[in-house]
Amino acid sequence: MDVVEAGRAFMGSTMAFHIFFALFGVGIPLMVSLAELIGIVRGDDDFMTMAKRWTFAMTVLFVAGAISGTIISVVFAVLLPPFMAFISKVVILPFSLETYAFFLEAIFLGIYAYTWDRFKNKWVHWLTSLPLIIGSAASAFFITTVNAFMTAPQGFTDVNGVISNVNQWVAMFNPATATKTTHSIFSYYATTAFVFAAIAAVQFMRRKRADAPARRYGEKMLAFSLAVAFIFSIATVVAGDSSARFIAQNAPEQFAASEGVMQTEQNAPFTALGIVTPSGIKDGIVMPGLLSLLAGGSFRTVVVGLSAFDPSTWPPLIIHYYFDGMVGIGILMVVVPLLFFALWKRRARWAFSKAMSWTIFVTGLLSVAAVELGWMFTEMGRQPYTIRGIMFTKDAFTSSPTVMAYAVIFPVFYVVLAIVTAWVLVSHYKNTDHQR
Amino acid sequence: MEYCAASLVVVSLFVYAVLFCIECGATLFMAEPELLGSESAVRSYINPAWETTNVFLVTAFISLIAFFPGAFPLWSRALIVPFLVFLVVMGARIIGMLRIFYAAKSGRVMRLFLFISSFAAPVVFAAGIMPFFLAGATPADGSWWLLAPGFAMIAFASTVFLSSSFFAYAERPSHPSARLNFLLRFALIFFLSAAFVLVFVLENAAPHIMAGISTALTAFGLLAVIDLVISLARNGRYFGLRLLLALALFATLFFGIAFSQLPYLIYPAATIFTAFTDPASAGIMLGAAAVAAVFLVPALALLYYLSLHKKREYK
Repeated sequence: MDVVEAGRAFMGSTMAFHIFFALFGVGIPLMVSLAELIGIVRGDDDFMTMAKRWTFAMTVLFVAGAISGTIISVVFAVLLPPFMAFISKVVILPFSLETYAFFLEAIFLGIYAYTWDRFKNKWVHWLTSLPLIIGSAASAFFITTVNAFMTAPQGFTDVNGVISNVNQWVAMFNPATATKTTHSIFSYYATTAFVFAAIAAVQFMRRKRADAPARRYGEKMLAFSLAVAFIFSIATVVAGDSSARFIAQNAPEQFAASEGVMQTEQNAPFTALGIVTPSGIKDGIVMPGLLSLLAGGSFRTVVVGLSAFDPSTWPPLIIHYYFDGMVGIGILMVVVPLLFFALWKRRARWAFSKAMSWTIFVTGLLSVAAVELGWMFTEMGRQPYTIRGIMFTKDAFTSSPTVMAYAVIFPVFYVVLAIVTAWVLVSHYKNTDHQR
Repeated sequence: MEYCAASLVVVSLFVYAVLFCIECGATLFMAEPELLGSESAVRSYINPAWETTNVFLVTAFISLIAFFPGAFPLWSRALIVPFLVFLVVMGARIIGMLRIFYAAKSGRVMRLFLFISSFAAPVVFAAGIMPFFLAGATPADGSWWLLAPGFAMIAFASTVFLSSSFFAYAERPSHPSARLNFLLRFALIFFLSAAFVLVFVLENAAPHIMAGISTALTAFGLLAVIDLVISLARNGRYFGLRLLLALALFATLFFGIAFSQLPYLIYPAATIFTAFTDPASAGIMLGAAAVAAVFLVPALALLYYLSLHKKREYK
């Protein structure tokens, strides 16, 4: 492993770890706020209990997310000096704004989490959740605009490496911003809701013989989480469709690589599953014309093949697995809640059956994997560039051999932190389970 | 505009330094709970407030990159090891914080682990990073071997001093123990000694700073005398005044050094003028900071008010 590979491994593990916590940092405030809102409006104690119990998870996951966020901000600077030197001149504004949004989130997390019994009027406490939602979503929005810039750089003039005519707003609101930010933020909401549904499903399975209030609480948590998951899964699919069209038009080599399209063609097929080989995707389930439909809304849309590009600029074809995984799980996230609500209406017993609970639990776990796969598709799909068309990945990293040791130390730390975080959450909920 | 941007970095770093010292020093009272009589002041402060502390560091860090991109290539390469070591220590500290403040169990070993990692964090930060900015010094230079221990000592002393002053005020025991009184006196004398050592090493390793620091040192000396008199004569009283004096002493030293360093950002390689970003970008970011401050400062004040006041309901 050379220094650049070690740096990439370090950066990749840091991003994967941070995204896991960041998605909950964005998603849980909305879930908590909605639960409290329903609790206040309907005078339903079960929803108030839900909001209070989820607040603890929100706080603990924020701690892990905050430290991984701090690590990322420092690691970007010391691991990718050429990249950050460029970014600091052209599109540093979103980083600044993200800091303030993060501030808002951190302040109101403290206020919201520790003032449940401090306000006589329940609405006052609920209102403190709004800046928390805004701060977390804005934080995700701003940082994703930088990622969008890496796909569609603009807002500056580059003459032989000399940067001039910088317009930070133009750089920030680039053509990829709308699709990328909406797709990622909606997916965080959908995933968080699905993970809560998965937890409810597990609790429901364990409480088959529980008393009526406990069953009622479990049913409410499951139905509420799946309703939110369904709404945001639909929104994610719609935003994902726009994102696919954007990639087809603006990063055609990534789009072609995702389905192993070698030759430019109309009526291009979508290949589900299959095995990635250097010459394309083999033994997959071929759906003629579907890729063209995804790319431009018509079977006649031309999909540009990889042969149109210099092979040295091809993204790795392995992104096919990431793309398929993300799309497949995304479809599952729409179908499973639909199935649950259909069953609930016609055969309520089946909706809360063991088989359905297992299905929800597995989909909840897969939803987290979908977010990770989505980011892997984005990052690997941009290769060999870090900033598309501007800076190669090999040129973006530090050449310091120090990185080698830390590329091992930090992933170990992430594993330990993840275990401790999980242990804290599990032991807390185990100890307070009887209070429900 | 350059001075405004530099002030944003310095003020963010100052607030971070104060809060981080209080937070890290809290582990002293977690390791030895009988010092304050109870852990309640530590727990009721730490839990709501500590999550905002790191944001000040991120603000200072991002502002440094955003406003002074010209200096970025210099420090990002030179400081890779100190930054990564700092992150490792911070990571260890977070694990201890999670175990002690969020889990039901917190044994003595974990408290000791948290105590060590918490005191190591500010020491690593100050000793690893400050010598480079103040004198362009790396371990290859002789001046680094003077500055690094000097900053390590002041970081350690500040942590003890600020946190003991803060938590003595937060708890305000009606009958403070002899050990608490001893700790408060020791912390003050330790801090003053560390400041004296720091000034001595700065005079030898970063003499350019000494040219501008005289006013700050005069004020520092005056405040030190007042604090010493109160501490020695009125033992176990005036916790609020002693906290204010502790903050004033730290601020005088911190801002004295920081503003004596200007216009240099990294001495002698970069100034705030040569490293500054383009004025249009700087204007946007300073505007954003001003707008953000309108919302964030009152919100932050509310958070600290709620965390420092006893539980009671508000209409």
